[in-house]
Amino acid sequence: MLCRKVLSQLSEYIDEVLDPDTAVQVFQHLDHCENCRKEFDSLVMIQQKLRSLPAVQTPNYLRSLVQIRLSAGRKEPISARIRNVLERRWSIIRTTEGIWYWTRALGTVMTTIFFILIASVVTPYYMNVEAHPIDWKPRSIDYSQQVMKNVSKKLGINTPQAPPSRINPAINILCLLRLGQSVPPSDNDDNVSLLYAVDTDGAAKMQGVVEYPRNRELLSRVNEMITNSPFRPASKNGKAVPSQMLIMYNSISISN
Amino acid sequence: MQPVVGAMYPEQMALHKDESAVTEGLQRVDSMAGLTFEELFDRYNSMVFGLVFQILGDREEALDVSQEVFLAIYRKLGSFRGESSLKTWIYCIAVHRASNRFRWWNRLRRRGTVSLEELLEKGAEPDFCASTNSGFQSPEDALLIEEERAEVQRLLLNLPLQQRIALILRDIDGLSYEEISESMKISLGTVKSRIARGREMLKRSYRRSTS
Repeated sequence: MLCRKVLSQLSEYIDEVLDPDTAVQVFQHLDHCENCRKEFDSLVMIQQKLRSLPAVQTPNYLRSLVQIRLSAGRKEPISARIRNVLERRWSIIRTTEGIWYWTRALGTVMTTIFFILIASVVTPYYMNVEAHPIDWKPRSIDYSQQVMKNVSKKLGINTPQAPPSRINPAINILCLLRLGQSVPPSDNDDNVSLLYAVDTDGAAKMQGVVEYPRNRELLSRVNEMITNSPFRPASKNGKAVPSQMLIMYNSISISN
Repeated sequence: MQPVVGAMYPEQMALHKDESAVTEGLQRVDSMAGLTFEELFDRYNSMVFGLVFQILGDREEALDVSQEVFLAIYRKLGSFRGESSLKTWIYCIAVHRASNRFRWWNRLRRRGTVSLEELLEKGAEPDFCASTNSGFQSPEDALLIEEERAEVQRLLLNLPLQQRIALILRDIDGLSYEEISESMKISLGTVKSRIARGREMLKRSYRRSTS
């Protein structure tokens, strides 16, 4: 019999639970193998040390403690009993490692599903287009085309002409507030479009008027506001460069 | 034969009248083992406390868990079917409760709220263990023996939980492999391997500590 096999069976040999044939083989091996004999003696010694550990004396008051707990269990109201049961169950979940990690994983999955459901079912009020329809129709058919023509002329750019039947509402959409778009146009509305040059220091200087307002005072007020405001200059390869800026200002009158 | 409920718990009489399951359980125990709850407590309290103490290594915790064990025995008597012996049934409850408490400790230790070293130190205190010193030993010998026992107990507490329990049940409480299998709810092969590994680890750590 090999030493390795004998060593693996020494514990059972000590406890006399090996089948008789194997026990005889182990016995014979131990008789002539010094190393295995030493291991056997060590195991026997450990077993004897464990057996010689003094008996633990139970405190006399354990009886009284159990009695008190039993009485307390009887006197507790039903809510306290339920709480105790829940606490005990929860402590088992928390203390049993496998259950605890599975509970956490399940909780994470359930939370994720919950948020996905919430996101797909609930529509935020600001996305409720049906409740607040927006009038995307341009205020004037000729307006956007006229602005584009003037801008192209001032900048010296040849832009392809849009088909006459199609309207490009981009400029209106970009420039007008949503509130203004939903308000019907009135006679008091006014527009001004100004072309500015922005230097490398961020100062704006008017180059020309693309669209004149009906009220001249609006032109001077807008121009004053823009020239007194600092701008971030355009950059090219990390360096500030001069640029041009088109300011389109729409004054919308809202009644009520 | 004594009444189902012993004289020690007079306030429990009403409880037994109300809760028929418990009464049935007590009667069943009475008929199968010839024991009342009081007798059952008298017979098994040192066994339960000793086992729980050896597993946890702390007297206060052992006291607390022992109470829980007897409360559980009291509550579960109605479900005891006598498929295993009363002794292994009680062992099973005690092992389960003590293991849960130890795992809970381990979790706290990982969070740094409880020091295991402190725990082991407390567990190694011999003051509450019955002294078996004979009158023929010199004080020096008695001290050496006490120190060695404390060391073995400390090494035992350092073993992995399942191996420790198997070793305690086998070498300290003297249970058979079959009884350990029933108490720990594991197969006979697993019992053998846990005991063998536990002894091997204990032997190595003992060698290290004495060398």
